Amino acid sequence: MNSNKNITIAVDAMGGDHAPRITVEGACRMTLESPVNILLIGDEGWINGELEIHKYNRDRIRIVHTPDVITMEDSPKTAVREKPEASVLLAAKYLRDGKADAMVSAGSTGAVILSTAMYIKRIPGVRRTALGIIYPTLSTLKRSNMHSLMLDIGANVANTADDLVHFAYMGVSYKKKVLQADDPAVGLLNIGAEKHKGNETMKEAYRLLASRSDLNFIGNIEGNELMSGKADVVVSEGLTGNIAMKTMEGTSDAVKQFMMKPIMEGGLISKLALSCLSGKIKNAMKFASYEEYGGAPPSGMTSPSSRPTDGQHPTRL
Amino acid sequence: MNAIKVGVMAVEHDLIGITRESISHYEAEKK
Repeated sequence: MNSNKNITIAVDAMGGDHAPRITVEGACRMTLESPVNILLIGDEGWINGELEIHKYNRDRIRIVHTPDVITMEDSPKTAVREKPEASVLLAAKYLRDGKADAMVSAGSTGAVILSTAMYIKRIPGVRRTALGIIYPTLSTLKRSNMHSLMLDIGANVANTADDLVHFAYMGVSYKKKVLQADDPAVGLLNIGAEKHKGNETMKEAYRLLASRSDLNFIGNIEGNELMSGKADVVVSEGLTGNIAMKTMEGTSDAVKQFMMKPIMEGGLISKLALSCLSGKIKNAMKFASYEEYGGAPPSGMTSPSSRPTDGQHPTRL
Repeated sequence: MNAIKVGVMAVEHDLIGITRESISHYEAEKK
């Protein structure tokens, strides 16, 4: 562990729909909560404007100026060539050069993946990197640290069976080291529980995963089991994982609205009942809110990077 | 856990080291 050293995180201050407002606010919060040093990479004028609004530890934030930014509208492939000084690329360069220990960007998935791929080597043997997401499950109700991790959620579209085995090892390492799980159960996201379900890639992935004595593989899991907590690590192809993740996020938002709309439109008794239960409802909303679980760890690189699943909430940065 | 915390935890717990070790073990056994 490097706990005797202050960790430096390179933050792409301009990445995401609401940057630099949200990125700077999130970084400021972190300097008040933990002894982390933050390099805010982006337009100095904009960043300073945002810094004036928030409280933060002045010893722990440094600005690295660059006027270039890869926007959500840019084609990532073109932009990484045409904007070599873009904030997300500079963050990756700082990581490569050892000026930062990890990088964070809420920018477009493509830009983040391409930037890290340009400057950071993959772990030997790894053909594809993966993006992951930590999310709450019914197991989290019993033990607060029992979140599940799903990967890949969109770094790739299609994967080989071997990639999926690598993702399992990446996920298990993360669960063991970061979330302190003893023997994480690994599930393969598929269209049925039986081993012959799915396409050839999924069948081969099942065979390979089941053959590994150092993995606690529990077999295929279906979409309706994602929230059960049955699998601590859910392995999926990027396309499937992204759809599953976005479906969970959308469902979480919809359920909140289903619950609140009749209450808010109800009469005095509804509002009184709400006020009596407001603490419990807030806790339940917080528990089920995907905004609370914002860190999406990309895996497979030789240096760590992290990406919030969207850049709309400072708590996710 | 937010994205900066994820980065910090990954560094503190040598996430890259253990991932590299397990994948290297898998790749070696494949051959």
